[in-house]
Order: sequence, then C-alpha cells, then structure tokens
Amino acid sequence: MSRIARVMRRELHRLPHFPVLWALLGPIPLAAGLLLTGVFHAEVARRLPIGILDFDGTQPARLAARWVDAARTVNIVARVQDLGEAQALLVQRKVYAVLVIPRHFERDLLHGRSPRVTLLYNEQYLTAGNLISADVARAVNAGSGAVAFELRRSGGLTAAAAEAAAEPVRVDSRLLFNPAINYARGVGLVLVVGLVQIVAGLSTVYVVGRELRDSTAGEWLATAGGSPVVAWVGKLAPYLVYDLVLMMVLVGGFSAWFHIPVLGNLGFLALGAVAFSLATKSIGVLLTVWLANLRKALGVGSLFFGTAVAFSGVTFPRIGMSAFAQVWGGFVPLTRFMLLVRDQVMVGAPVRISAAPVLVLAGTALIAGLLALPRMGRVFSDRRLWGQE
Amino acid sequence: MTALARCFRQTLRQIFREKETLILLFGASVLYAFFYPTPYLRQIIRDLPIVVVDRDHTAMSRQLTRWLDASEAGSVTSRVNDLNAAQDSVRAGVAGAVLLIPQDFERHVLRREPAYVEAYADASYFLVYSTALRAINGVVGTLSTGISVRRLEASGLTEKAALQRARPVTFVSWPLFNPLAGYGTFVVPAVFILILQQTLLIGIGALRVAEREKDESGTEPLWAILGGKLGATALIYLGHAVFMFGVVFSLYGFPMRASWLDVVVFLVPYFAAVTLLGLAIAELFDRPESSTVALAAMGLPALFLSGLSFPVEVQAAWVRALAVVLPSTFGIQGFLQLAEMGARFDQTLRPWGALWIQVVVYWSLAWVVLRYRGRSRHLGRLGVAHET
Repeated sequence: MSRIARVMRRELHRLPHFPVLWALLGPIPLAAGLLLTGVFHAEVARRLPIGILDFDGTQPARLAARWVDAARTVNIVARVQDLGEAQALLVQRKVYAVLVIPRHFERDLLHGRSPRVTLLYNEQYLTAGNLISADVARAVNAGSGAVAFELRRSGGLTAAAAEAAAEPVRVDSRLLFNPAINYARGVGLVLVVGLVQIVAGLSTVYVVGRELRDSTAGEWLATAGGSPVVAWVGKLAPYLVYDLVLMMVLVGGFSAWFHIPVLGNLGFLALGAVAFSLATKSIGVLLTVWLANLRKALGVGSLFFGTAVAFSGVTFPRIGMSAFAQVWGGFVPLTRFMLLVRDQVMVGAPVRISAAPVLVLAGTALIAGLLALPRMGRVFSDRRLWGQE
Repeated sequence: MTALARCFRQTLRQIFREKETLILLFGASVLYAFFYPTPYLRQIIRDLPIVVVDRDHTAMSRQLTRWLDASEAGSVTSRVNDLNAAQDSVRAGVAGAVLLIPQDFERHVLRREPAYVEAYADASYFLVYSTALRAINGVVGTLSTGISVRRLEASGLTEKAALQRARPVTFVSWPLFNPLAGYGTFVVPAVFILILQQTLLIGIGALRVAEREKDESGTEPLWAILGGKLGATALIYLGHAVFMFGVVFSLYGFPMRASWLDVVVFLVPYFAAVTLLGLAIAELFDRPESSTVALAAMGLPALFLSGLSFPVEVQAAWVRALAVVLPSTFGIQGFLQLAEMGARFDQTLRPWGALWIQVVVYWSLAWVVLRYRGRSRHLGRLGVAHET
C-alpha cells in the first residue's frame, strides 16, 4: 500500500474515536440544514398579520381597508379600537403593522382634502417591516390613483389624460435576479454555505489539533514514511473530498428542494467549491499550527468561521460596512464564494466576471498555506508544540 | 442554605481555576460583543451606485438625475446611453440599479400624457434593491407630485388645495422602534442574546467535563449543586448583560429602551434555562473542547428560528415546534420587546413565562442527568460499573 493511502487509512480509523468530530461532520450540519429548509419553507413572506384602526367607519374607509387587504404581503387579522390597543398588539408582535384610517376620511376624500392614511409598522423586525410597508404603500397609492383617475374621468378627461393627471410620472420597476424576493435564494443559500464553511474549517482545526494535543504527530509522520508532504496531503485530502460531498448534499439539496436553478456555469462553480474548501482548510491549518493548542485554535476558529456570514456581504452589503469589516470580510473565504454563487447561480454572469473571486480564493489558500508552511514541518519534530492543554 | 452558598462558591472557584472555562465564560462574550457588530456600525446603505441611462437629454431628465445623485441612499456613478452596458454593470455587481429615462420623457409630461421611467434593481442582495427603489421612488414621486401641483395651480387652485387634489389619499408610513431602519439596530440586540446563550452552553459544557474529571461535588445535595451553579452563572452573565447592553450599546450607538430592573428580571430565567440546558447536554461531551465543536454550527439556525430575519408566521410548523426547545427563541423575542420596542414588562409575560417553563423542564432534566451521573460514578468507585 502506498504511504499516502496508509495515512488516509489511519485517518479513517481515528474517526470513530472522536465522537464529536463525527457529529460535526455528519448529524450537526444535516440537522442545521434541515432546520434552515424548514425556516424558509414558504420562500416568500406572504400574509403577515397586520391590524386596522378605522376611526371613520364609512364605506370609503372600508374600501381603503380592502385595498390594503388585497396586498399579498399582509393579512388583516385584527380590528383595533384605539392607539393603545394598536401599540399593545405591535409590541407583542401579534401584528407587524397597524393601518390607521383617520376620522372624517370620507368627508375629506369627497371634499378633495386628501385624508392621510398612516401605516405604523414594526421596523425592529426589519424584514417584515420593509416588505409590509412597501406593499401597503403600493396598494394605497394604486387605490388612491384609481380614485384620482375616476375623478378626472368624471371631469371629462380621456382615460390616458386622466391617468397622466392622476400620476404624471410613474416608475416601472423590475427586480433582477430574484424577482419574487425569494428568501431561500436571497438569504438561505448563504446560511447553508456558511454552515459548510464552519464544518470544513473546524473539522480541519480539530483533526490537526488533536494530533498535537495527543502528541501523536510522530506516529502520523511515521505512517507517512517520514515524509511531511505525504503526511499533510494524506491527512487533509479525505476531508477536502468530504467538504465537496457535504457541499453537494447540503447546498445541492437545499437548491433542489427550493428549485433554485443554476443559471451560470456549473463546472466553474465546482472549481470554485474546490478553491473555497482549500482556502478554508489552509486557514484552519494556519490557525492550528501557529496556536499549537487545540482549544485556542477552536476558539479562534469559531470566531472566524462562526461569524463569517455577517461579514460576507450577502445580508448587509459590503459597501455599507466599516473599513475594518470590509478588510476582515475580504479574508473570509465565504465572502468570495458567495460572489461566485451570486454570479453563477442567480445572475448567470459570464465566467470572466467570476474569475476574480475564484483567483482570490486560490490566492487565500496559497498565502495561508505559505504562512503555515514553516510550522507545518515543525509540528512533527518540535515536541514543545505537543500536548498543550 | 449554607449548602447552596458552598455550592455557589465552589462553582465560582471552579470557573476561575480553569483557564479554559474562564475564557469561555468571561472572555468570549466580551470579544464577540466588540467584534460582531462591526459590519453593521454604519447601519444603512448610503450612496448606492446607480447608473442612469438618459435617452431624453432634457432639463427634466437632468434634474431627475441630479436629485437622485443628491439623495442619501443613491449616488449616480455613471451616465450611459446603452441599456445593456448599464445592466451589465448591475450583473457584475458594480452598480446596484439602473434608472432608464426614455426618449420623449419630458415631451410626454408637457403634453400631459402618461410618462414612465424604468428602474432595474439588483434583487440578489435584498438591501440593494430596497435601497435603490427607495431612492428612485422618492425622487420620481417628488417630481411627479411637483408636476401635478403646478398643473393644478395653473388651473387656479392655491398651492395647498393643489397638493391635496394631486393625491386623493395621502399615504404616510411610520416606522416604529427602529425609525432609521438601521440594520445594526435590527440584528445586533438579537445576536447579543444569542451570543450569551451560545457562550454559556459551551462554557457549561467545558465546566462539567472539568468537574467530572476532578470529581469534587462530593456529598452536597443535588438541589444545592444545581442552585449554586445557577447563582454563579446568573451573576457572571448579568454582568455580561450590563456590559453588552450598557457599555457596548452606548459605544456603538444602539438603542436601549428598557429599565435595568426589567432587563434583569427578564434575563434571570433566560440564563437559568440556558444553564440547566447546558448541564443536561454537557453529558454528551467527553472532552472540554467538545462543546465548542458541537455547538459552533448551531448558532446560525438558532438565530433564524427566532423569526427575526424571516417571520415565524411563514416558517414550517415543525420548525416552530422545535424552536420552543431553545431559550434563545423566547429570550430574543422578549428582550427585543423590552429593550428595543419599549414594551411594559407585563407585555412580555408570554416569552418570560415560556422561559420559566423551560427552567422547570430543564431543571428536571439536569436533575435526572446529574443524579444518574452521581450514582454511576459512585458505583464506578466501588468497581461495580465503569464508564467514560
């Protein structure tokens, strides 16, 4: 048997002795991935509960309420009597918004005094708040426009002139790449890939860190026939393959479940996945060999990989971040890989646009690897690096 | 009572003796509290790059472009004639949106015909499309209302009457609790509550492993052992809460609207539930670092189970059923109510009550686990059974 196969075999035989590693590789990401699938199962946020506070109670006021109830994002679940009740429902999150129709709504409407309809919405729950306020604004303005149109029409204008008079300039807006505002695509994907990165990074830290902590690096090197290169390749290669399997199962499974099509180049995406895994592994090795302490490396690794989603720029774009966060996020492999996912999965951009993130990932892997290199040899010989608690 | 005090002191001693548990239970929360909010400190997207395709080349189209450039959210980074080239820059992620002002735009307006502009926004990032559309709708709405008012004024109405006629119904949306729609204000308070849970679970896991190795709990009654641990973690973590929601919040400028008394009363069962859950699951961990490895990946799903980023109303029913297991689900909900939404304490009784139910359930679970553990260790000492 070749030396490299012996190292791999040794690695597989070690696995059953580390129950927590086994859990990290299998059940935990699967469970977390399933949970995220359940979280986003509706894909879009529809029929969110809102309340209505109608001070007028006339026929036109009820019409205005119907404009709003017809909006897809909301569902009127409560009719409240006063602002105190509205506040109570809002702070208890029983409704995300309350539509207030003022007293004398009908009278002011008929007299052309433009009654003011107010939407009080919960912006602490920003996702729901933004979706609701945009949709209700659309509904009320459309309803109001229809009223204006009718007024102008009854004043003797043609349909086109009445439309122009009601709203001289309109915006025809189109949402590119994710027109339905599908959250499984827009947010779910980065979480699942972030999960893969946590597993890929921490498993690397763990399998290398355990050799140091258990002082088994000598035995590891002996299995490799005394070659550090064989030892490292034989150790990490199975996990690299596993990262790709996990990527396929979790990201592929998530995408298949939510029918997320790959609009770009799947082969290039696969190449990016290899670079992503290599970069993550290199950073994991870098942390572990320099800290030479399993617990410290796991702590720093959790900080780096566990917060990566926040710095990746998917939920909060990088152009809005502080300089520190932009620089830090630049080192996070997830940031680059998600650019690739956006380009090749959602946008269908030409491959040349995505070459940059893949090259940066490869560069990250290379630089982290080079920085780790001086220590990667010493872990086999320097006994001071062994056995640290 | 003295047994409880002894156990309380014993737990604190144990935490301070082990460097590992000290770092996990003290250092980690402090580090995360400073580090985690850094992406969100600017709160909103300003000057999002927008490309304008102006095919009209009139005073009105130039005015619209200038207004868009002057808006807080948007910034016109280039003016091109080719729509495809403009859309390519959105595809490449260089620009967030394209505003197309078609030919004869001003002519249509002056001839009182319907006039349109087209907006193409990058919805692969939700904050990009919403920021871009807010900027574009804002300036176009202003232009449109201005035109209406001028026309009505020309027909002899006063400005006020003209304004009212321009829109039969005025729509006003009023954001509550987070009026600037700050992303940091939205996400950081919830994440801090989650960080407290995760570091406490991981820290308790490490502490229990160390305790099992040292085997010191001796002859104290079990209720005192549990009570002593609850007291010690509550003391340390209420300190963290004061640090996070007092010091770090004011440093980074996040709002804190609750009284400290309310916060403490609310968080006591939260920390108790987390500690007891930690004691129960700690038996799964064979080594001090195992809890870090096992729990690092669970933070992400736990945050989304709280319904902050995607509403609970549209999550799958089985996910909602599982979410009640986690203290963070109720901890985040209640804390946001108190500290961000300014709720009275009696309006948070549901999540607070749910946390107390968790305390009872996890107390029983931890009791059973520790009792079993104590007995098997006793037997082990007699040479009857052996484990780990």
